[in-house]
Amino acid sequence: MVVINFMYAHCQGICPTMTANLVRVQKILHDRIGHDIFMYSITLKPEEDTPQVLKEYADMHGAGPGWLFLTGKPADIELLRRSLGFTSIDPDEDADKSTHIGMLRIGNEPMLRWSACPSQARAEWIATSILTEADNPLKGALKEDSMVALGK
Amino acid sequence: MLPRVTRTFEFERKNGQWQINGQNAECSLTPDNSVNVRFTCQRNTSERWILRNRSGGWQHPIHIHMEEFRVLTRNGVAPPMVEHSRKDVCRLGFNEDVELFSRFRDFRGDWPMHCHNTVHEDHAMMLLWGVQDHGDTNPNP
Repeated sequence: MVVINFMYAHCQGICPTMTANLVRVQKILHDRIGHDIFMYSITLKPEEDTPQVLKEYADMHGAGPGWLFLTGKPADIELLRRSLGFTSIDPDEDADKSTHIGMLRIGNEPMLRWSACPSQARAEWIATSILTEADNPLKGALKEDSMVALGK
Repeated sequence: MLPRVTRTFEFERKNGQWQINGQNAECSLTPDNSVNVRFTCQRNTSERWILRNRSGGWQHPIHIHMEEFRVLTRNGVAPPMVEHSRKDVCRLGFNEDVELFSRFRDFRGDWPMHCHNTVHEDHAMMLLWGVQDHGDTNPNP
């Protein structure tokens, strides 16, 4: 299970509240993060955000173990950004990093289930969304009484 | 029956998140297990709602549950003939502003207002509003 978001250390827009919210999510799911649920924050500015900068950012916000802040080659990051869906249809908005997508990509890779959640939703709701994909991805497809009515 | 209160709703897209008046939908229950109701209308009163599309290049059919409404103006002028009726979906084209009039009558309870583009709906472009004996007068809930 992975929870992925894109950020950069000097973002003046959504990143401070997004990261603070994710810290709350990590506290709610404290017994799962780092065990079967892993959080990844990927920088949109690899030229600025060295591993040292990212470590300082993570420490400043209080991010705990099981949550990695990642950088890499710009081309690799752009490939990930596009393939994970953190893009805008409008090319001007897509090119402007200050309006970057503030959603979370939630993935249960073995079950091939990928979901998303707004990063500024309440932390309790984000945790519920994550746990639904982690623990009960098929729950709610049919209620038990419907199964009885179908004669199953 | 004059409107008791006028409320304005700005439908926005912030960093890919659909928001109404700068807030995401409150999907989870509050700590005391109740639902999050953004505002409350008073029974047997009417209200004027202004819906503004500020989402930058997206159109939204806004569906309001429970009570039908009349369209007063569309972008400052009288609406076209096809909107001279009781409606429950208000089409917001690019950057449009629409004023609605509605009465709140029979039932006390909570209902959603949401974009009926089901992809936006699934990504929580909605809020919950209520009808009770006493309502608030928040103009920007």
